[in-house]
Amino acid sequence: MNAPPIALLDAAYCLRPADSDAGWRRCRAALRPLPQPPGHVYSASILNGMTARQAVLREAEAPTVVPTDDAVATLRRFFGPAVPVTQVHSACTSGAVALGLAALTVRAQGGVAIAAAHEERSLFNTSGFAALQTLSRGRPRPFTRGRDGFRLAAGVGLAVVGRSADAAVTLTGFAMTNDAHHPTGPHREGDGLRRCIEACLADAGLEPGEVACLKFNAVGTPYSDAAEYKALRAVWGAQLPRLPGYALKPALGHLQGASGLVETVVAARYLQRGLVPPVARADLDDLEFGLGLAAVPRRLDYANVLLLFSGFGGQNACLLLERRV
Amino acid sequence: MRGVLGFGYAHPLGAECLTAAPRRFTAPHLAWVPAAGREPPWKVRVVPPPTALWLSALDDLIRVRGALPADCPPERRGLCVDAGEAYLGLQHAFFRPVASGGPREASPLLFPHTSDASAASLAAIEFNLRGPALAVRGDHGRTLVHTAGLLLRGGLADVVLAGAVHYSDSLWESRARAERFAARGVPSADCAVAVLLNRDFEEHDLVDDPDLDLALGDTGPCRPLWALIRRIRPAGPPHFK
Repeated sequence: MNAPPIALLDAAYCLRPADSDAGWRRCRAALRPLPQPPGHVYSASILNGMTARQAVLREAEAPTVVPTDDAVATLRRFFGPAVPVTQVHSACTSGAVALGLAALTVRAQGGVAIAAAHEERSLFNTSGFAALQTLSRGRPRPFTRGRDGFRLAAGVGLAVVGRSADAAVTLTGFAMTNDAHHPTGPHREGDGLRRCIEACLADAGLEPGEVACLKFNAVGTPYSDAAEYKALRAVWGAQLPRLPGYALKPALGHLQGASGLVETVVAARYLQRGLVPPVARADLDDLEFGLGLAAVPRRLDYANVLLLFSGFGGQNACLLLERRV
Repeated sequence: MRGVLGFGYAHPLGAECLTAAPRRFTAPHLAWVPAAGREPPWKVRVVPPPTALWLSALDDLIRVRGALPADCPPERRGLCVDAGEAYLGLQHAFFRPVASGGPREASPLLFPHTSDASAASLAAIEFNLRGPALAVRGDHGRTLVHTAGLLLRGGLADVVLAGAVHYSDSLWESRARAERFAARGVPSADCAVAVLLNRDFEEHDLVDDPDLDLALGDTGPCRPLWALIRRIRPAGPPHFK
């Protein structure tokens, strides 16, 4: 008898919390009691769990402050002092990778695993991304000719992954690759992302033609959006514009290390409700690439969604969510 | 030991507890540039010390010892690194001028090096590793090999380079750690170590070596990998004390 599929048993996210602690508390309160203690917790952020605020405090208060990682301590408080917590760092794909590793853990050893992600909108990150000229001067407009970057945001997410025969959304595919090309920019032809898409579809046992919807990475920088389109075009060819898709970063902001997890939770809810969210009309008028975006929400009975994530250093991750009928 | 295809390591000149014949913290990586034929918007000419240490360990494993199987394509080669607190110093170095002078003081050259993930990404570029590449951090030595095992058994890679870097600097976190270990008679020993694993590797083959601290010094997150190397070669690498 086949084991039940790996599913998102429960999930919660919090956007723009007053600080990460508040976000963690709200997410934990929103989760149902766990069926069993988690076998592993994967925690994602783009830094070592050290916020800019802490950096200043540590420098000023040394050596009276004992260095602790707030996220790890918080997760231990939530899920038990003995639970192994692994911090995952793969740039802006960290949240998706944490979710993928949680799924692999369940696949390998059963039980349930937790994926957690948090990011603050700190002076550290803002000044860094500004120095790299990746922050949008106005509203982010991915895939348009006038795109100029993204808007940073803060958020926290928690997801419980385990096997279930009656869960609404299953996680059937996961892959991650590296472009091995450049310390910050993507491969210009989207080679790493294309390989990641193909590996994720192979993991899920699907052909490209069986994918019903795409959640674009849509970071909004000139090179990254072009590379993403080329990767998608290499897989779907002329069919690409007819494949429904959507982007979440213009609405949610770029949650950096947490974006992979929070966007997946949001995508799972859209999938469950049979909705494809829209983009702004003005953006559609200025699109540079032929993609299946729409200006109005679409009610569509789609069976699955492929989620794309890319990050600094050529990091790529893909997840495939399926809706249980 | 089954599943361990090879190992490599590096340490900076003058690490008194590691060797009498220091090697492989060499100039080429300190003047490292992306491989020819690529088109970066700017060139990264210098990598910071922890990255240089890490790249040198991989260089030892891949180029000097030739451990990567030739029949394993770059797309099936994964990488997993635990950099411990090695990158905290770079985060401080980036943020100090920003905190005092504002966002315009931020360095676009230093920012990409402030995350542990840069250790994975730069190694992927330097050694053409196109499979999964990520940094992990945990409070127990098994985190690294546990994650490497997941990548292997999950079918994301055929081989995984699992590595760790221990680099201390003048930050108070490093000083506090050094003082804690010094109180037990264990000096700090900066180093990087990498082992090449395939699917035959079993996580429970990893056992602690209680003599390691005294033999090598405090090697931070490298410790479980040194223990692994000691099991492969009970006499240790040639320059173990």
